[in-house]
Amino acid sequence: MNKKTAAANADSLFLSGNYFEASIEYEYLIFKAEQPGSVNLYKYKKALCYKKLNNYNRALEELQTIYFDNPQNDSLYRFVCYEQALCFYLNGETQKALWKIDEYFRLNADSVAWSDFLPLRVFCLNQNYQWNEARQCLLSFIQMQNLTPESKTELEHLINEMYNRKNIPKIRSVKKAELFSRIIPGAGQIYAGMPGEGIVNFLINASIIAFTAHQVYNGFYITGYLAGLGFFNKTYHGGIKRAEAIAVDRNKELITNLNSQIIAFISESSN
Amino acid sequence: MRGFFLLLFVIKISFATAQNSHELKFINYLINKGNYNEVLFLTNKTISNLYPEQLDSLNYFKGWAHYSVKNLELSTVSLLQVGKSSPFYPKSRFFAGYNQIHLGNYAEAKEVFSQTEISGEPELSLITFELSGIDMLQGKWANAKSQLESLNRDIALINQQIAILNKICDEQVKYRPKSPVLAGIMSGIIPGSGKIYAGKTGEGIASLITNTGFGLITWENYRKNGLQNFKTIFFGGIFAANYISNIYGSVVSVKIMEDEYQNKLNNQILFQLHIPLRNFFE
Repeated sequence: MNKKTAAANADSLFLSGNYFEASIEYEYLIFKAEQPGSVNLYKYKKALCYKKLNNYNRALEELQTIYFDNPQNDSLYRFVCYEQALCFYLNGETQKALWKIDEYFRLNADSVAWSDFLPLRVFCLNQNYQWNEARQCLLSFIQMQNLTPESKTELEHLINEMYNRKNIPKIRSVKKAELFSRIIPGAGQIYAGMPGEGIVNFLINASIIAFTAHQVYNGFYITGYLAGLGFFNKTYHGGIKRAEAIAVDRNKELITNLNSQIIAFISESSN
Repeated sequence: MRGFFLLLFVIKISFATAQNSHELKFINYLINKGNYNEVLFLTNKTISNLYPEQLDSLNYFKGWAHYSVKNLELSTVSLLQVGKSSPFYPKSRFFAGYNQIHLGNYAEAKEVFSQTEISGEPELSLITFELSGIDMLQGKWANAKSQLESLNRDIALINQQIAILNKICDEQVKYRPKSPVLAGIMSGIIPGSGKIYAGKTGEGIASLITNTGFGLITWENYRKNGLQNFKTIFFGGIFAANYISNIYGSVVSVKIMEDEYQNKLNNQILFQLHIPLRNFFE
């Protein structure tokens, strides 16, 4: 099989969704390649296979081995940077994704290709609660689009609305949730956005305390101390941990919702 | 005309074998990169028109990839198919034997080592060394000791490992296993003491505190409310369940501890058997 046929075969495997087989074919092409340029292209395509297989770490490993003599003049550089940033984001490493995007921006100050990176940058900034920067980034993205001035003004208005103080996600502080539950059992859950669970937690803790007090009042000091406070210790500290977990989950949910809104917004603006 | 077809046939065969040679080189390259799943995918595809030596190499690559992803049974099957003429033969035989040891198939492992056609040192000593390890895993400490003593100490490859295995043999001769019955009795007298005897000090102390706590609560309720009271029966029930489960737990703890000890010992022996193989063949 010559190289052209092998490359076509690898591409067709990729297009038909056989990503693992395609990755082996690309590796074979890397093994046979003589030109560094073609090695970079096959490594890039191999990384795409791993990304499709949800193996972001391996995709990143592959992308990180791609070396460019002259990044500014190589059209592949932009795609490699984008995929690296995307894989970092998908892997939950938003700071690294931002670092990669900013590195690309620094090396390509005049590039019009920036606009491809901006939505991803917005998602990363949202993940880090950098609302103002995210808003600016989204506004720049709209400015780069080929739209009528009226549409641009309308979209800018929508973005400003989306990032308005009233509309930005109410991020719950994990530390505050923990502190509230420490002071009043169940208060952390209510603060984190689960009032029902908070009330139940409060009632359980209050019942145990009431039982302890009742036992001690009636002279059952050992029962009150060991059975009452022993049990309270478990529900009290469990409630604190639960409040923290709820705050973390709720924040993730809020950011996911915001990013979904932005995806819908970008799709609309590009139509 | 017949000559022409013969020539065509020869050209086709040489093209196929050249292609196979390329594929084997690629598989070797993948092995070196540590891409074992890719190797398994390629070796499971049917590759036709292989020379016997190419087939040996293919079996070795397949066996090594299976070994690397811990499919030891499949690895053994492939490695044992490597022929004597292959340069991979000694390594394949040793690792097939080691796989069998790891799988606990000691009789099969002994068979693999005894049927390995190898002459010369240090391979022969390495076989005796592996056989002594199998004896140790089977608890035949005296046999293992005599085999270890018969080995040449001047071979640097196994010198350190012989000393370590000898030390393990000596320790095992003196080792007295702990009794689950004694642990149960101890926990019956002082809750948690059986677990401390089994080596789980933290668990033992926790059991002692819990049992004492429930015991005190039951005693307090019994003293103030009498035996018929609900609270006395309730806390007494919890105390009894806790007390009995603690005795049972102590018996199980000793058994678990013995199993853990045995596993740790086996892993230690397996590790020592593995070191010279990796050092010699890689």
